[in-house]
Amino acid sequence: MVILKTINLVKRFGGLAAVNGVDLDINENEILGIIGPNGAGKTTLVNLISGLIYPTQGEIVFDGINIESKPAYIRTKLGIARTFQLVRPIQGFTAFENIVVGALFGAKENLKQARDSASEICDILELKRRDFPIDKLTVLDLKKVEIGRALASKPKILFLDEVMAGLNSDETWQMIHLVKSLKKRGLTIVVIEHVMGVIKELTDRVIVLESGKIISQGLYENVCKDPKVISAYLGEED
Amino acid sequence: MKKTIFPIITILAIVLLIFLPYFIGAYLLHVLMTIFIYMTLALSWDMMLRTGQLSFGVAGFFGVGAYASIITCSRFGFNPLVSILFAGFFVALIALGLGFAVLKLRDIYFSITTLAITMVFSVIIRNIPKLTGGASGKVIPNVIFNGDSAKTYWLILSLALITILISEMFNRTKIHFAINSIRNDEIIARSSGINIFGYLLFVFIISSALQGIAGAIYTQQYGFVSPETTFSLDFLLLPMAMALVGGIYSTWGSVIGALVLGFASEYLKLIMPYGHLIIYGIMIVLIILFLPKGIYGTTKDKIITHKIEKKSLSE
Repeated sequence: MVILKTINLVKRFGGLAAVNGVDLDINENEILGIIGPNGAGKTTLVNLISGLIYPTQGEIVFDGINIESKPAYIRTKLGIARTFQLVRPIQGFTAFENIVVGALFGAKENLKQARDSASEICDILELKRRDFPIDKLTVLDLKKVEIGRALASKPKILFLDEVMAGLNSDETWQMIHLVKSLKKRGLTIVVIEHVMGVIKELTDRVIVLESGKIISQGLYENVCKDPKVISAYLGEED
Repeated sequence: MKKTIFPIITILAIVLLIFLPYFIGAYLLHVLMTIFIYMTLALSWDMMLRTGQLSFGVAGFFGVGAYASIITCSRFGFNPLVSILFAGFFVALIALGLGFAVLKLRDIYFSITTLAITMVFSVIIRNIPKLTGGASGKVIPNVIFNGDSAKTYWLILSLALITILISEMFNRTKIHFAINSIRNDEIIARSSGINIFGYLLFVFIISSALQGIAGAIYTQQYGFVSPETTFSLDFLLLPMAMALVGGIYSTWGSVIGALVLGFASEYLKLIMPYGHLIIYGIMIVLIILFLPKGIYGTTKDKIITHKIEKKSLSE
């Protein structure tokens, strides 16, 4: 079943079409990978879906309703959560309190419920230094806080924007296990990633973006062999 | 242990403050009244600052509240207490209307616009002399409670306590998480499901209404308004200094700052009638220079760092 769908989605910044007619179907409880060279429009696509920017044209249908003109905070309440490429924890809050924010406003819980769900999420994420201020945390912990805040809003679909960036191989493996365990909990997950190994390991299906268009989609193995994808990454063969 | 002691101290302090008029002289009581008015302004200014918006509109809402109260009292025969409440509602209504425009602005643009609004208020009031008395101001025949300073003190004390209560509510409920997130990162706040404009408008209305009520009570105490004195920038700059000296983003910072600067200013006035403002200014500069987070903020930080170090050592 399709949970989120974009129809001919376009976003122009002046003369540049960062996203140029994307028709995307995301199925329930799959892990979808979005890959593409730098500047392909991956993050713009996530910004459009999460509501930080509005499309120039096109539709976004989530759970049967059109959301393309709804503000970001409403979309979060409806069940679309995301993390950011550069982790953006709320300074002055502890790791735990950062996660509480997601539960309070995204999931519309009261303070007590939010504290309960935040500590539950800390357990799932194996986040240990939860009472520490943000500036005393490691990169992996910060990434977990970022995911935790998104998870706390009880999303149906979770966008992870380059969540592996800056992690060492050991930490990357931990993160891969974590994302897989989230899928088992029934979440639909969209992963934007540069590291191909991670995409291969994690995803059920891959979409390749180039210059704001989908140039290929399918299983990782098939997409990798697609000549269009190879030329997008490596350039045309003479 | 700490949890049981704190409420007891709070209750004792409140009881002490209530019975104070029976123990202390008129002069000290008057000093306290002024301090509590400024404390209310400092706290309400800080409430807005906690959302990340630096408001320069304190004197404006203070002045509009003052005029609303005096005019309804003298022209329409309102009871002074009713006129003070009316002033609160009136200013809240104005804040609601203005909020739709100014709360779309950020940073310096928000600050400058709120300052400009203060000027606009005073220009409007200067130019409708029939209602406001114009440039020469307006006097009411009777000050509130016929000048009974104990009753006036209790009224001002209630306003200060209510403001402290609201400020603590802002710090202990869901609102705390919302406004802190908005101040730190609006994009994160939006993606976490926070209705930024809704919260900003709410805090703007509450803090403006408190400033309006403070203005109303302050003028009822003296029975006189004029554009120059009522919209004086003292009502913006002193509360800001108090909050900064005590420590921003907290209730107790503004409370401590108002007490310290309030008493210091009175004391300095007594020991050096000329030039006391120089010492006062130097004092503010020194505190902000050496305690950048204010008296309360710096002390609190030290305690927290100490706790974390202890925790790290024991891990």
